[in-house]
Amino acid sequence: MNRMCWWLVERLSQRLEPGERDAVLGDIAESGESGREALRDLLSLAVRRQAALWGGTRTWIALAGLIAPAAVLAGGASGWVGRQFQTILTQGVMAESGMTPADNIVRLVCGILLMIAWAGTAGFILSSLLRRSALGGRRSHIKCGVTEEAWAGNWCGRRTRCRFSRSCGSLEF
Amino acid sequence: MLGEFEYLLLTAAVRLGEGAYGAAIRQEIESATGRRCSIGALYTTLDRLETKGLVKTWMGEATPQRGGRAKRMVRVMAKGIAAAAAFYSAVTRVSRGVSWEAPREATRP
Repeated sequence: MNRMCWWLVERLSQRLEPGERDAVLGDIAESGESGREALRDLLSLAVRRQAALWGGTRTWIALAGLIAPAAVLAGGASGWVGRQFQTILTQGVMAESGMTPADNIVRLVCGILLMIAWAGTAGFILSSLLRRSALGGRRSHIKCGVTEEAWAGNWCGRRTRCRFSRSCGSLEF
Repeated sequence: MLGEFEYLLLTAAVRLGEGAYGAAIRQEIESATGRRCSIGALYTTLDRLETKGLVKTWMGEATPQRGGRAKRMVRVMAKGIAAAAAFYSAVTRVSRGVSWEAPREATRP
């Protein structure tokens, strides 16, 4: 049990900033705590950090003012791309629109890029908000609900998982 | 106005002086209050006090007893000392003339 607690402490502490990780683990080592107490301390730090983060108005302003609109726009773009794909799959390239097949493909690619841009923006802002919290450490991969929603919307009926990786700064699907 | 725990932390840090860092402050608070002080409470309060400009923290040297890990050193700024002094004055003022003796129960005839 104690060994498992220490393993969890080690895993959880990897999500802290390097400097803070040193300070916290050093304090735990100095105080001679058991694995259980160390785990409780680390969890309390994580919970308090999250509570402090979501207790501030800045987080909510960012959520309502930036993340929500970006997520809505990503969802809209996803819906459009999904509909275009469905039309192409069922009727072929949309000749009836009066556009050439090349124009149609360019339009579709632009739609996909727009969707990725909005989804990436929402994910990036969310990850930036969580950066300073213990649960959103440097090496964490944050599952990004908004981007997942954007992709899953109308993509040929397939639900695709989306993860935003801050360590490499790219989108992973 | 400071909170109770913020005051305890500032006072412990001032008492420790140059040797004020996470574990030492924690031990000082625990020995003074007789209650357990969690690392979560300590570090989130330190963050808050630093944001308010009442303390300054930086990474110090590592020692073998800490497994070679660095300390988070703490220094109380002039603003922090003023805030702690104001809190202490308020507690002293509000306590003046108050007796903390437990009231005696009425004796039965």
